[in-house]
Parts: sequence; structure tokens; C-alpha cells
Amino acid sequence: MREELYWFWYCSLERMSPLFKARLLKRAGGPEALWRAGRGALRELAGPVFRGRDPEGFLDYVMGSRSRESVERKREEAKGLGIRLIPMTDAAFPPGLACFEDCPAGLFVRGRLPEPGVPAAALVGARSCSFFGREMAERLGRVLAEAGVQVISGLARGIDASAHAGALEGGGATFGVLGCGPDRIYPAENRELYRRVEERGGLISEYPPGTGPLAYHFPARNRIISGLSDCVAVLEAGEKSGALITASIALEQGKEVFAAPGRPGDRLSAGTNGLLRDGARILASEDDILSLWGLRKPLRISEKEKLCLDKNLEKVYICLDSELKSIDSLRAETGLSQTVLAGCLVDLELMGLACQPCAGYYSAKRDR
Amino acid sequence: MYSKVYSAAVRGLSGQLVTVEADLSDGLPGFDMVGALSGEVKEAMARVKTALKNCGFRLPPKKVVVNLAPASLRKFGTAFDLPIAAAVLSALGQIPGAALAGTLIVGELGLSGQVRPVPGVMAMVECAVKSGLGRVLVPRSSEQEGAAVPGASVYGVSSLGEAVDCLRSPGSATPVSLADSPSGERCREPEVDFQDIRGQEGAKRAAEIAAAGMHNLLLIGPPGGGKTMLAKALPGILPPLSKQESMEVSRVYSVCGLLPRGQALVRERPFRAPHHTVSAAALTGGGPLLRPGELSLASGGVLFLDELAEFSRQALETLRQPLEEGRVLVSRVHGSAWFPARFLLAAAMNPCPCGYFPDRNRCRCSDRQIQRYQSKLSRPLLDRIDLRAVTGEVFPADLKGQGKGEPSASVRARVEKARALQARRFAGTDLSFNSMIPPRMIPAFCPLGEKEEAFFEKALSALRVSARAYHRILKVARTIADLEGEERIGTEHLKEAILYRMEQIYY
Repeated sequence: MREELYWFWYCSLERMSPLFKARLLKRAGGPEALWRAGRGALRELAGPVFRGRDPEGFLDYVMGSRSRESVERKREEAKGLGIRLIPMTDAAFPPGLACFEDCPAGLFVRGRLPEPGVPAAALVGARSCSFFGREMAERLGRVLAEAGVQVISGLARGIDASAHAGALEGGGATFGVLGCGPDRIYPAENRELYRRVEERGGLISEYPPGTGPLAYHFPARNRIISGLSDCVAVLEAGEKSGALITASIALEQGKEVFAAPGRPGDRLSAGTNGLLRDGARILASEDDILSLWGLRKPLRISEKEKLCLDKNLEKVYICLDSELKSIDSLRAETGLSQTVLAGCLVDLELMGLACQPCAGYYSAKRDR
Repeated sequence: MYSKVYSAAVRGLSGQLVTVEADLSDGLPGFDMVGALSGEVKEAMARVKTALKNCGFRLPPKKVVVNLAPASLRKFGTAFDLPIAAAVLSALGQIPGAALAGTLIVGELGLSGQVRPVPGVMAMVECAVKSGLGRVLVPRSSEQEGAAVPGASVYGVSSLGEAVDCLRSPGSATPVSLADSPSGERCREPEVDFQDIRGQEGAKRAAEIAAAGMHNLLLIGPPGGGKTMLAKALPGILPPLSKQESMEVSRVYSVCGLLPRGQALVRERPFRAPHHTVSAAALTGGGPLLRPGELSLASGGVLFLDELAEFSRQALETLRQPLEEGRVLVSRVHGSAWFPARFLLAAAMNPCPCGYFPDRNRCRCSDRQIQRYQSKLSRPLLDRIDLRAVTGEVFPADLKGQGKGEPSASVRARVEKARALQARRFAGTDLSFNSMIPPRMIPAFCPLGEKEEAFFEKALSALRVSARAYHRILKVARTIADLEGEERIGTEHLKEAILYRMEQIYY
């Protein structure tokens, strides 16, 4: 059997924590030795590092998985889906990951891996985020991509999806690290986004094709998100958000952590403001991240400076904010009549200066 | 001895003539009733026998047979008690047969002989007029209702004795005349006035436009935002019922037995707010009697569906035909009937299951949950709703300190003016409101000037407005212009209409 088949077999094994999988491989010296080891030898190899409840059951599982035909069949299937396995010994394997104790044995990749030596930033945050957070993620993704930074995130709902979408809009490369096999689409509504990310970057996972999105996969894949990036930016996170796990792993890995400040007291700012309190770097504008590599934001002429609005329009425009405001509260602030306000809002929307992300609520659209 | 009396059964909104025949013969004493009778009609036997005894009539030990013809028509209700008693008395020779010819009798009997009200008196009197019966005996508490129908002399009776006297000596009683002529004035102010609603100016303005052009309205907002209050205030800004409308509403209410006691006609705009657990049949109407449902009870007024997303899909889909045609067809095994259903739909819903979206500090619903919640409303239903208004949360602090708002009466004055313009515009067509303009007639009724046309085109493409919404925006703009008393639709009218457009709720 060829070397790569041994790797494919070992990387496809389940029922192992990332740390145990890495340690076992290290003790054995390679996947081939594990394939060839008898039950006794395997017990000796696994024993000192095994932390689970049922060591014999685990040995049964490993012995049972050693079927050459099934490994070959699975590898052919993966090939058919356009999925490659990059084992940790491969030259293409990201060097950023190799140095960690719980380094994945290999990465299943659809598309390509991030280019080493090119700046890469991870943008992470809450799934059920606010419109403001979504806008911020999209803008940040776009500006980073325009500056040539690779954007890495988790292809989840909310901030993740918006960051990817922004990067695609900015014409850059973006990579999604998944908590399921690279052939599975989760969540299903991101299907189109998956396709485009694969086209312009890659889908990366340590789980073999066919693996479902199990809850414990997600904290584990966060270490890969952070490991592939030079820095991690947390955009919006509640007190117990998974994005905070990524941030703490990033700190362990010695990466720079950025947090976007939010209003004190807001639920979705609790996590990011907590990070700032604990010493994370502040993300006040895109430049904060770009300065890490000495990059500058590409210049574009701001429309706003050329603007010359009529009196009522200006009054309404000033009241608009990045936060959503209801029509009723805008009327209370501007003191305009419903008819006049309606005219102003529709005009601003037509001029691209305001948007209505949700029925009856307006927010400003600046710096587009 | 044989006798016959005319009575009526109600099916749908119309009465059907029923002949009550009675025959006394020798044989084993007994009382038999035939003619496809349901339980409550069979029970009439006990009531009639006892009432006769208590009014001093002795039923001889003879064989009595009562038949309700046409015998194939299934009969329901208690309106046949009085005609059965009259037929038996006539068979006994107590009432001359000639006195019963040309008379229609309805009423429920109590054991003491008192006559109790029955539903549908209006339809029964109409049936009498149609069948050429000039005299109608009805329960006293329903006499006004009967008198509202032109062409018949209606006599109200409160007891069996009175009914017998009235039949024996026709000259002794005088027919009922309509006590209060149905003038346009409303008798009672609706329970919520516009000036009692604080804030919510946007939603109030949308309600005004809805009332002026009969545009259906969807209110979206968090719980406690005054959606229900606003809907309850809607009937108060609609113009008063015309005489014809009042008759149509009263006919439905009469059949359902919901007319206010002693009142001839319904004067207020109906306001119906069925609970969200309502079944499809309760909305459209149905049952063996083909009774009208909530949609018809709301006809001429406001149908308020609170928590729209919580209604069953089946119930919501039944709204489609009535919203399109202004009437609803109820078909059952025994027959079918058209009921009026020309109502103003005011629906309210929360934006998400918890109700606080987009306030992310309070709403923790995921995007999926929100989408699923909103997708309960089908596209075809949303297509029939022209206006969307968002209500905000009202805090106790907002409730005090502010001056009173504009009272309903002055809003109603504007609405009436806009209605007058519409009446002039649609004279000679079968349309009555802006919301009814079909797409092919939009260019004729909602013409745009060159400048407006250019603006509208630009706005449609920039805001990605669907073709469906195009007509709705134009119709709403027409109504806004009418409210301003403008003959031409201006850009400011279009802009306001765009603000209320009923596109997807979230983008």
C-alpha cells in the first residue's frame, strides 16, 4: 500500500480528540506503523496518551477500520469530489499549523490552501449578529481583500458569511475552515457562498468527506482558523460566543487578536469589549489590521465630500446612524412631518446614502 | 280537520318558504311530526303541547300529524314552534283557516306560551314578500328587524295568546313601523379614538390611507406597541355605513342572531377579531345551514387578524378569494351560497417569534427562526396587502406628558373627502375604491406626468421593487393624492407610497 493511503486512513479515523490523534501519531512515528501494529503493540502505543473511557472499544474500532479496499474506495470517492488530502508531512502543509502540539494529521482541501507568506487575517464573530455587525464584517472583508490580505473564516451564518462575502466582493482570496467534511454544506443557505469560496480560495477541513457538522467539531476547527492566519479579529460576540474560543486559541498560538469595540451593555458587545479589557488590540478601523503588515487601504474618492444635500435631506441624513432607527424615532428626532420624512428617506435610499435593512428601519450607508 | 300555515327556513342568507300542515283525526291519541326534522325541530312537540295547555287551549285526545313541507328539505332551528302551534289550533277550529292564508309565522315558544326571538327574521320576512305573503308574525324583540324590510306588514307578538288574537281579528293590531329611520349618524362611538393612541404617527398615517382607499394593512411591531389599539380605532375613521351597506351588514347579522336587541339595523362599521386558532370553516362560514362566517360578519367593516403568523395556513389561504372578489363561496353537500366579504383587512404580527427583532439586545432569534416565522405568510396573501406599517415599542414615559393627538372625527373627515373623490372617479364603473383598480385600468386612473414617470422608473430599479409591487405602489399613491385633494399623482405621493411598500419584510 502506498504512503498516502496510510495517511488517508489515519486522517479519516474518528473517535479521537485532536490532541490524542496528534500524540498517537508522534509516538508511532507515522501512520504506516499504526496500520501494521498488532493489537498488543497498539495498546502499548495508545495506552499512556489515551484519555477516553473505553480503551478496548477504541482498539476494536482501529483494528476494524484497517480495510485496504474501503480506504481505497473512500480515497477514490474523495478524488471524484475534487477533495485532496494534504498530510502534515507534505511540503504544501501550512507551516503555521505544523508547530502545534494538536496539529491535525492532515487537511482535506477542496480548492486550495492559503498562500504562505501572503498576509492572512481571520474574521470571526457571532452567528446571530446585528445588521451593523454584518455590514462591518462585509466592509472589513472587502477592504482587506482589496489590500491583498487573504480572509479566513468559518463559513458559518452571520459574521462569518458576511466576511467571506465581503472578501469575494473585494476580489480577494478567501478560505473557509469547516466543522464538517469539505463535501458537506452547512448551513444549507450558504450553498452559493461555498461554491464561490471554493472557486476563489478553498474549503478546508480536518474531517474526511461525509462527516456531519457535529457540535464538538466547531471549537476544534477554530484552532485551524487561527493557525492559518496572522491575526484574528473578533467583530461581534456575546459573552459565551465560539469566537472567543478562537481568540483564546489565537493567544495561545501567539497570534495578534483584534476586537471591535461595541456599546457598553449591548449583548453582542459583551464578548468583544471583554477581550479589549483583557488586552486585545482595538479594531477601530481597517487600518488597525492593515498596519500589521504595513499595508494601506486602497484610496477611493469619498462620495460624501462631494455631497451637497438640501436642508431636510441633510437633517435626516445626520440623524441616520449605523444602528437601525425606526421611522417613528427619526420623525421624533427631525421633527419633520410623515410625508416630508418619507420623501427624504426614499431620496436618500435612491442616492445610496441610506438603506432599509429591515422593514420600517433605516440605517446610514457610508463610505461605500 | 286539516290546516296549513306558512313559515320559513333560512339557508345561507335567504329564506325558503316552508308550509306547516296539521291534521287531526280519530284513532289512537298521539302527536306525530314529519318532514326531515332535526333534533330541535322534533322537540317543538313538547314545547307546543305545553304552551297550548298553559295558554288555556285543550288538546283533545286525537291523533295529530304535523308535516313540514317541502319534506325533503332538512329543517333546523326553533322558528317553527309558533307556526306549528298555529296550525294545530287552526286544525282544532280555534283559528279560521282564512285568517292564516297570506300570513307567514315564525317564532320559538316557551312553556308558558311566550314567544322567543329566532335568528334570521330579516331573511324570513324577505321570503314572505317574495312569496306574496303580505302579513308576517314575528317575535316582538325581532319586530324592528322585520320592519326594516320594505313591502310587508310585520306584527310583533310576545305570547301565543297575542298571536292567536292577532290572527283571529286582523284589524285589532297595527303593523310595526320602523322606530328609528336609518339615518347616516352613528349611534355609538367605537371604543378606541385616534387621539387616545400616543406616538405611532407612521402607523396612524398608514391606517388613514388604508381607510381612505380600502387598502389592506399589515402592522408589524413588537408586543405592546399598540397594534391592536390602532386596529380597533380603524372603524372610527371609516365613513358611516350607507343605507344600502347597513342593510347588507344587517342581513348577515340577522341570520347569525347577532343583531343588537330591539335594533332594526346595524349602524356601526363591524369590527371582527377572530382568535388565531380559528378554523377555516369558521372564517368562511359553513355548516348544514350554510351560516356566514367571520369574513362575512366583518363585511363592510374591519377584519382584524392579530398574530397573523400564528393563524393556520389553511385559514389564511381562505382569505384569498374574498380579498380578490369581495365575496366568498361556501359549498357544502347540501348546497352552496355566496356571502358578502368586502372588508378592510388589518393584520398585525410580530417581526419574529420573540417579537423584539431587530433589537438584538432583546431578540435572540436566529435568522433561520425569523425566516421560518415570516414564511408562514404565503406570497399570494402578501400580494393582496397594499400597505405595511411598522409600530415601535411604547414606553410608559411616552404615555404621559404628551398632548392629545388628532381625534378620529377629523381623520374621518379627510377620509370621507378622499372617498368622495373616488366615488366621482369611479362613477359608471363597478369599482368603488382605489384598491379595487385592476392592473389594466391603472394607466387610466393613476396617470403619471413625465417627471413622475421618470422618477418612478428610477426608484423601481434602484430599490429593486418587484413588478407585483408596482401596481400596489401606484394605487396607494393614488389614495395619498386623493387625501391631499390632488387630481394628479406627484412625486411626493409616490415617495410616501414607496415607504409603505409591501415587499419582503426583511431584506
